[in-house]
Amino acid sequence: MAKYRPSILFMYGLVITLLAFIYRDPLSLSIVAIPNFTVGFILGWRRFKILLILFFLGFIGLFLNAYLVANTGETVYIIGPLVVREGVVEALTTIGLRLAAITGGTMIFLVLSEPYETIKYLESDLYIPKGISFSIFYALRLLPLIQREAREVQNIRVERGYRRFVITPSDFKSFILPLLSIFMERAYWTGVAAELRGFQLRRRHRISFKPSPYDFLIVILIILQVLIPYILIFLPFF
Amino acid sequence: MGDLEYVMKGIRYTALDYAYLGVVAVVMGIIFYFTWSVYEFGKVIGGPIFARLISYGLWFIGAPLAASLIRKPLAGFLGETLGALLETLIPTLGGFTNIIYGVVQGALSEFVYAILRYKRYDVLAGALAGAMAGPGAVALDAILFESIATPDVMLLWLVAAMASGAIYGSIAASVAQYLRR
Repeated sequence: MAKYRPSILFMYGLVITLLAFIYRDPLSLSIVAIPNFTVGFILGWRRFKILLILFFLGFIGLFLNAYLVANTGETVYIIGPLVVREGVVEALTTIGLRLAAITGGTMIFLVLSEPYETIKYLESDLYIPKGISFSIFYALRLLPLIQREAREVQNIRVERGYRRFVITPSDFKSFILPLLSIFMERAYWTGVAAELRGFQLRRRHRISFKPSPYDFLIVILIILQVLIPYILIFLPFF
Repeated sequence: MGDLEYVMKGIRYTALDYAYLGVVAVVMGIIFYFTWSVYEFGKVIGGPIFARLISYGLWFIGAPLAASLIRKPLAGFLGETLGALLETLIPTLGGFTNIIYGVVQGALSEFVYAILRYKRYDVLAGALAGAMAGPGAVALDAILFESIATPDVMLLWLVAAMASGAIYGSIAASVAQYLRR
């Protein structure tokens, strides 16, 4: 049995994401963002380097967005021709913390769980229909294959003098058509095989619920992150 | 409405449909993954309107593609939602937010097919389904990420998102038509 029950970890990631959106002030957000991002960063740095690099690169876009829509209030910095006002700093802080919480929560879930196990437990604990879990299982099984094929399509595009990445609608069409044709054929025969094996008769996968101490820890962490910001509101110095 | 109730009662998905949904989910998961780079790249070089125009439609195509391929009620919703779930598992910068966006965008696109009584799955239906996801995405941007600007700018964002959805949605539907041949 897994150390952590994947369905509880899934709920953890989901609750952290929801809290990141519910909390509006920087203090409450930092209570969720700082610990989750730190733990997520330590646990997931090796596996999800690109995600973390994208997170930091995202701040450039975030700054541009904030500069365009929230550049109001007192002047805080003057960077060359750019006059940065309070609104930009506030928006950057709030949304940066929100993104940090979401990224952290997601990383903790992904590092501590395994996708196949997660789907199995989601079917058992959260009553996801068997057909849906079959689709996700199949999609996860295809993922390494399709990544390989997608890279191949990209390489062929480069060899023919086109862009590697999909940017325009015509790029998109020439990228998706070969990928889908191969995998639709494969899916057809997988579907036929599953039906012949009695797919319609299969019952919902069930796993007995025996929470481990780690699961209790996760639940306690959820409760703490829900309660602490509310407790802090009533403390006089906050 | 009577027609629609009749259609909804008759939903029966086979393993083939679920396998097709799996393919749509994985292809969408990968496209959604790359779309983050397209969006960030677009934002840096052309600002938020250009970024929305070139990227948002790519996030909306799960529904028109799945609906046009499977041609059954709820296929659009499931295509978009499962793609978003897979995008979370791959993972991308949006993390669990992707699921929220996937559910809302999928439901809005599905609404178009429901309005059409699940009888039309052509390029126009795909374009409408893609465009319909636009208001959902812009609304969620405003609610979740506080992307709120003046009404004029918000309108431009909405138009860009819907235009992008319509373009990519029509392409998705034409790709599905090509595959069904």
